[in-house]
Amino acid sequence: MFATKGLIYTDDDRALAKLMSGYWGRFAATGDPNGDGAPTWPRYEVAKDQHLTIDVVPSTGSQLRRTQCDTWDQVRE
Amino acid sequence: MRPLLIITLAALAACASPAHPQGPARPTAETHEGRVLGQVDHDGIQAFLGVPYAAPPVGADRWREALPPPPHPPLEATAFHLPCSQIPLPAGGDAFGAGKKIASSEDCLYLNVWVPPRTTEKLPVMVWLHGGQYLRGAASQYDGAQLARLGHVVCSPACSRPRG
Repeated sequence: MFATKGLIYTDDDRALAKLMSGYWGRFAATGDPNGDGAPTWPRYEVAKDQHLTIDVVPSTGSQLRRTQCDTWDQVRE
Repeated sequence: MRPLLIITLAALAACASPAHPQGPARPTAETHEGRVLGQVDHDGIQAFLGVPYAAPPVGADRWREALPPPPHPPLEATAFHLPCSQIPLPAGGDAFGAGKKIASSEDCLYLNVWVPPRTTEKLPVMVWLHGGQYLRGAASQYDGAQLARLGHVVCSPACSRPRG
């Protein structure tokens, strides 16, 4: 993301940097990371509990670390 | 402190433009505090480095809330400012400054701004505050040129004072 000096980048690294920078830039501009042909990042809904795994080829899933999250959900102030 | 920062950045973003129509294009920005002179990299990204966003928090202002930056003469904004004073880390790992004595200063409230190649549109500004458990770290760890280019945003890492 910040092109840290001294590291060696592969084509996959560069592709991922471009994808992520695009998501961030569009989110900053419009509040929606989607667009420019990037794989769709689904809007979060509690009922679906979806997430996007950001990689060279992103994928969507749901209920990430559900057990751990449910534990935290039980913690009340 | 935050509103100050936003105002300064907005001014930088809105006013960044080549200094002269002919000759080497030296990007300049007019801020509330004065003119800031940056540089352009080979991708056309404009960089303004070491721009003060608050008054130096030194002397009687040490440990106090930051005050607005004073006016300055035309500023050569072409080099990172020193990081804030911080406790050295033991050697090992890849953390910032691990095992090294890093040059630092209490006078450290500066930010860096990267602007995509000249456009007429107003762009969103992304402010990046470095990590480091409020103990260490520096804005200069983060080169915002790539995010400015790929994300089409103004990217601005800022130094902040450790509290530890």
